[in-house]
Amino acid sequence: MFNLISKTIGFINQSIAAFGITAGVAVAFTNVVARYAFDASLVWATELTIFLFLWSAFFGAAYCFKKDAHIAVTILLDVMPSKIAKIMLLISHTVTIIFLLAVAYYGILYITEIVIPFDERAIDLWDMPMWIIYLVIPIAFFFSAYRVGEKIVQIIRTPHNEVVAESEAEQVLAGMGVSSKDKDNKPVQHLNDIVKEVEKKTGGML
Amino acid sequence: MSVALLFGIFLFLVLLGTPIAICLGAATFTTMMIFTDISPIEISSMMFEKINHYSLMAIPMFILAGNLLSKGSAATRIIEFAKSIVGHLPGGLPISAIFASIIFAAVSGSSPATVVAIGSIMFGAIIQAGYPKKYAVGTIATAGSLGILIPPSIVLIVYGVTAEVSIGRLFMAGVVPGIMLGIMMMVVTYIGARRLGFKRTEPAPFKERLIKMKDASWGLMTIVIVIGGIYGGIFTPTEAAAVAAVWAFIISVFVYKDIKMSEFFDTALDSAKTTAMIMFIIANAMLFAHFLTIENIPQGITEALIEANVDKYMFLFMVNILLILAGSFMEPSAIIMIMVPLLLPVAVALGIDPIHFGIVITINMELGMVSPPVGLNLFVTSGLTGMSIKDVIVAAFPWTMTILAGLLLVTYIPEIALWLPNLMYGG
Repeated sequence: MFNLISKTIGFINQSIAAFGITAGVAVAFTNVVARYAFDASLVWATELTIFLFLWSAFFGAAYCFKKDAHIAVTILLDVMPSKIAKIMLLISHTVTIIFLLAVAYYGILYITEIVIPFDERAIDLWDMPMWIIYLVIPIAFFFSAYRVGEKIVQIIRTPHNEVVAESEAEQVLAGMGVSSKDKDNKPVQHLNDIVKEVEKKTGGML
Repeated sequence: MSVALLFGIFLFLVLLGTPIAICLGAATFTTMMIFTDISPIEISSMMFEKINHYSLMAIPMFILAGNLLSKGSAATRIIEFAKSIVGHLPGGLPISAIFASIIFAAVSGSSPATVVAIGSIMFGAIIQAGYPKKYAVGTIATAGSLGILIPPSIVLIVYGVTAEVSIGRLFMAGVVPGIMLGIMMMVVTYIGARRLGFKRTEPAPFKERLIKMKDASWGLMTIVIVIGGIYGGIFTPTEAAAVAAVWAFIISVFVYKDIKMSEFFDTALDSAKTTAMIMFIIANAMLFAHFLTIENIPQGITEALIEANVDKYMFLFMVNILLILAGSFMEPSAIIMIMVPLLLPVAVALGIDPIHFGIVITINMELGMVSPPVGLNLFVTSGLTGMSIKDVIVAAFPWTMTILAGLLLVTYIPEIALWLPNLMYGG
């Protein structure tokens, strides 16, 4: 049962995240072509691009909770004895789940008490009711909270001496230690893994 | 009081190892509920409204473009091109690595990707050619950090949105300092190599250079599209991002054939994941910054500093120290979102151009990435080469100092950054 829920959520998160970013690029590009080649800007394209990317981003954020990909500072966690580290992890995950559920809950109230009664509509996007677009907040935050809930159960069940996640540095190094060994034989396949590992740790920002 | 609580909760959660985005969001949410009349419903809706910005939409597109181009042969082709241009100089191979890093950074927009892509190919080659190991390590670790200054840069987009300045201008302002830092690093390498007794070799014939350039041209075109398109006033940065993403898709799938259509879903999902991490931080950091603004904190800081007679240069110096410290243990977009709303009003009050300030902040972030204790480029290079972090820090030292020198130049000579955007958009 939980397995099925978990898989469904995973499927929805991944599909919307990947589809949103692809479709967003497609719409934005179409708009550029329309503007330069046909001198006709598509009024709805800007809003549609934003909404696609934001849907992709919020469902992607839920997917990141599953993959433990959100960036955190782990300096203190690494040096603490494992018993304390386990408690720290439990507190931080509890705060996270409360925050996510609060945003999801008030997100629903925002839709039912403000957006629908005032009948807010998208400006350029075919008069689309905004509540459809705002739905991303309650749904994606609830899915995120579900993922964090799964992590909490997992942390409680794991003995404290195994619970502490690897530190940033260890993960980056482990991800690359493997690859630097095999580097002489097959550099390119491993290259992608390293990039992935590092981007996971840095948010691809650097 | 409210601000003490805000920062107190924030720091407490950070130290517990909570994701940065949640630290920002939860601290603001709690403080707003206690100290203001703003309804929690409104706070929730701000999560969406605060990132509902067309400029921010360049981020997912540049990330996708970078991911598509990092997956395959684009890096090799760029390195071959770089070698044919500068490979004959004393120190030619490490200089080529820096040159290739600059180009690759402009193509991909990602610094760890640059370090890994260039480093994994060049590291062995530089050592084989007889250079001391620290040459290979130092150049690769530091040159990759140029990526956040040379457009397209996600850090600059985040700054532009936070500071409400033109991203096109920022991108243009990053070009000259980025190239200048690159050249300074190359000169340091050249001088070092000459001292070690490396001789100039026969330069590659002109024809070979052309061939190598043609090989790399599909990737190089990305730079033309982004920088040329924005400089020429043809594209806005967001439009340039859309074109670059589609262009990267065409080259990686149809021209270089590095990515099969069936693998595209994975690349898209990967890019969505990276985007989500950044956007989630931005959404929460915007809430945080919004609270600071409604509490008039930036004004308070401005008044206090002006009363203390802090002048422009003193202030910039303080900012440099503060940000190098912050940058060595936190993620650039979070730092920018927290620090810029606090520091920019002071900067403006002291007569510092917001565009110039953005470039100074970005170079600080670069330094943070190669500074102990936790600069990420150090870890990446250490993993790639098997050297200890300590040795990497020592090896990178001459080039780290070069970036520091560049930072001081750009900080105290604003024209380096402002010349190109002013030329283009008018002062």
